[in-house]
Amino acid sequence: MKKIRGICLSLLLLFLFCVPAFGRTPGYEGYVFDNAGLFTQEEAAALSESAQKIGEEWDLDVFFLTTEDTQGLSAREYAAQFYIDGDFGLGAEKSGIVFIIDMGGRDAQMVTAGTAIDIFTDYYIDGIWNKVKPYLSDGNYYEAMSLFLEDVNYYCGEYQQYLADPEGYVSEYQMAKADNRLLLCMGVAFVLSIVIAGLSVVMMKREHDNVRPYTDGRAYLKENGLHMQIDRDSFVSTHTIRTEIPKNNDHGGSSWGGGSSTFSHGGRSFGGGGGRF
Amino acid sequence: METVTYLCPGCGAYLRYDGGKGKWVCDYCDSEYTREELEQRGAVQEDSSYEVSPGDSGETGKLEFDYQENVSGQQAQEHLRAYHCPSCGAEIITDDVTAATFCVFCQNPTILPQKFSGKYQPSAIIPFQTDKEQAKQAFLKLCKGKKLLPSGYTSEHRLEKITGVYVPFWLFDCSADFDYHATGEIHTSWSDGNFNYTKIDLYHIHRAGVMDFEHIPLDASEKMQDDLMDALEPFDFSKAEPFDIRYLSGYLAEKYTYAPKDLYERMTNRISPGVQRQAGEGSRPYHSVHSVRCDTKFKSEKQEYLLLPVWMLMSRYKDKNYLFAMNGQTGKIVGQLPVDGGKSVKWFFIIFFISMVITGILAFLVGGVLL
Repeated sequence: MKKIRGICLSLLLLFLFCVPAFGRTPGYEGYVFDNAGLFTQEEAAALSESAQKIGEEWDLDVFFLTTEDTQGLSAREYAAQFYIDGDFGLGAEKSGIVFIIDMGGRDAQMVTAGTAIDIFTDYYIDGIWNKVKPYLSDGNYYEAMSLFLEDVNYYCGEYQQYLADPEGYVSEYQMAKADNRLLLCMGVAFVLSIVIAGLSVVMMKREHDNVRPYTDGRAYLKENGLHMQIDRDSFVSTHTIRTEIPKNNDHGGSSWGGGSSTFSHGGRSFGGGGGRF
Repeated sequence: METVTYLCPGCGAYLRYDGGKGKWVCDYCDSEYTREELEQRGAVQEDSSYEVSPGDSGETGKLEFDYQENVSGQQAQEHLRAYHCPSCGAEIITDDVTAATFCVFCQNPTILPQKFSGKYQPSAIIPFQTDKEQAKQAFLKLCKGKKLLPSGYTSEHRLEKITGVYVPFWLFDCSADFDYHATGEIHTSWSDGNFNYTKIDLYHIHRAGVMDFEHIPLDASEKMQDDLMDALEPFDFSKAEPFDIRYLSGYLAEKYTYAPKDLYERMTNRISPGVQRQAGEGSRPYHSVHSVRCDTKFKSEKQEYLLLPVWMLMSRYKDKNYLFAMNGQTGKIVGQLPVDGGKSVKWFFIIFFISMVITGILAFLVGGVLL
């Protein structure tokens, strides 16, 4: 009995591995490629269903990938390769987001493409990652992925509101930044006040002693008292220093959510982030 | 030893020289005399040769204490001398270098002319051109607005202690033979799309020649604080008068304790920064000059000994001396004032509080509301 189950599992794994080469099979637990076997069938089905719904609503390909072995690639490169091979992505920009869990390296990454790069900026990716990571560490993969989907759905919705009125919309990022800035400004004000008070007292003390030398001696130089005998400036050498002008490589630093860092794989650009769990 | 007091031709009380009026005045009959008037009317010089030995007052003889002080292993020798006040007969004790003083009992100004004889004869004097009242006002001006000054520091009692002193100075004439080397840099910057470029041209700067200095004043009294005296400059030496001992009436005066050779090093230290800067100045505009080396040979062939007028006030606060001085000719004020520690702390917190309110509101506007 065990043997049969083992064979079945191997076949399933083999089949799953072949999926990229075949392209996505519609109707298949479609949005969950659970090569590492982290989800039960019911969980996979539930995730897949939500992912599909969210994806259709926001025009994004949302799916999950788990693996034991990334074949020498980093987790995000493996996911990017998977994305390219499977021809994932919706719309002209082939937009999508994939959450990869690499059990071999215990590395989890969100990898974004197309408009998802703009939606999920580093700030939001970090936010999601911080929420999801404890669940991953505890082995609650399903809860982790459910949370991830909730956030994807939420931020996509917010992003649509932002696009509708870029000027009027106040993003979570802006609010956080404003909070941070207020805190920072208050901190600066505090330090500045200490410096101002300290300097003022030092200046006041300095005024208590106005004993400064009147002259460095030149006041006593006779009128026409300088008789220059040698006055020569001779050229010695020259050299030129070259410094590179720093370039601004920030991607999408809008009022929506700051910038997104990207990487290239297979000739395409991906965003995202994550870490070990 | 002989002491002299100049007396009023009118009433016979003592005369003092008033710098503010530029005349000799008698505080008793309110008479005022110019130098010419004094010479015409022949101000009485009262010579008093009361000289005593200890325990035997009244007997003629020079009194000289040899006085030794033992301060933590170091031996200091100071000579004290005693004279009799020509006015009240009290004993005036002064040190070796004091040449004009007051009787502590009757405030009678007393001059010891022999202190300025021989090699101690000054060639010139700049008489006081300010009076004690101006010095008091100057002290109050210096103290004005000083929030950290201990309370009661400007009391009338303290103001009364301001004293006019003729300080001995040597005026050096000096030539400086300099040889100046330095490296100068001229920077040219430009950029293309990708890079910033800075071209640095190095030049060797060589200057040599002679600079002539005149009338470099250096105080010749070891009692005077050098930096304080340096800060009191400038004096207008064109207003110097040939030495006339009558100008000392009503002031303290000292003879020099440092001969020119003792001050030679101080003089070179005072003017060598100026020599170096003057030598490097002018010609090409360099963006930076470094690796400066300036070899200078100083030569001084003329020194003049003269007395310069200074108003002084020495105060003690928490075991530390604080000096106030005013240039008796120009009225320039220099000085050190004590700081009240408690007031410093109080002001720190007051300023901190005010600054925190203002910057806090700004921070709130900038960080919270406006953005």
